[in-house]
Amino acid sequence: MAAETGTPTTLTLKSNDDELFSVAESAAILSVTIRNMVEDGCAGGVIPLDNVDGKTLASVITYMNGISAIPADEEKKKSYRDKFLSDKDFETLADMVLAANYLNMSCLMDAVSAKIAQVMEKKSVGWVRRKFGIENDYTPEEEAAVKEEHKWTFEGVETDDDN
Amino acid sequence: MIVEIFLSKLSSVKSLLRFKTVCKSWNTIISDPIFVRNHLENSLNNLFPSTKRPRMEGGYPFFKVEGRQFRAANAVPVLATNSKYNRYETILCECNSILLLSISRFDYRKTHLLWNPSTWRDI
Repeated sequence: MAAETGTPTTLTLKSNDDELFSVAESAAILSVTIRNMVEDGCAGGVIPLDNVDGKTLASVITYMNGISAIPADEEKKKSYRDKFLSDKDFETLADMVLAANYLNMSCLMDAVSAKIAQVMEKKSVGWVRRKFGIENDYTPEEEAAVKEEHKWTFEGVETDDDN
Repeated sequence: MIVEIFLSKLSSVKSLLRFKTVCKSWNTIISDPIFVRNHLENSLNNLFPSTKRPRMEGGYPFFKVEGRQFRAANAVPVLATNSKYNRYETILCECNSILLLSISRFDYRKTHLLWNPSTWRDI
């Protein structure tokens, strides 16, 4: 840490598709993974983040900068998070939750997973399988039996579209 | 496991039960008694209308589950009117598992509320 110079320390993060990003250390250490690297003194050069692509990392950094600029006011932070996530599609949210998990950012992880749950709420089983890349491993008879047991839960579900 | 985190944040039991059909491993997660209990305790809508009048004036309380105990809920957020209630007067009738409750507001005015006990929400 460059406290002696008085200027904010900047870290360089590298995505798995070789994009480089500069970010203030004070914002980057929202990630416990990055904070540990800084504390262990191995954040001097470029920090490679092998599990995050450039598009997702750019988004995460926007979030880091935005949220760290807000003083300790949970209400304001929450409304920032809501606004930040409001225009993200499912694929982006899914990439972000994996990145938040890898970077160990609990506030982002909580917010994104809550948003994903909110998106899933009225979706069909087919939509969920498609979006999560899940193979249906029931036999037709088993599937019909599970479905029959909870028949009422299939009422009022959104039609099986891609949105 | 990340999927378990999403599922635990689903607010309606209806969605959870429907997603048992997704695949066998989701069915296993959703059927796990520990998952069910955690989901209930973490749910914002973990509320049950009680029918036993406690030492409280003006109606029956809603109860919520916390740490395996039932406690009277301080306030029930009601989506439809964006106001809060902490008790109801009577269950007026029931239709297709939806309850029609008579509710007393904090300002003692009375109103009605359709309550879905399976999602713990007003509709």
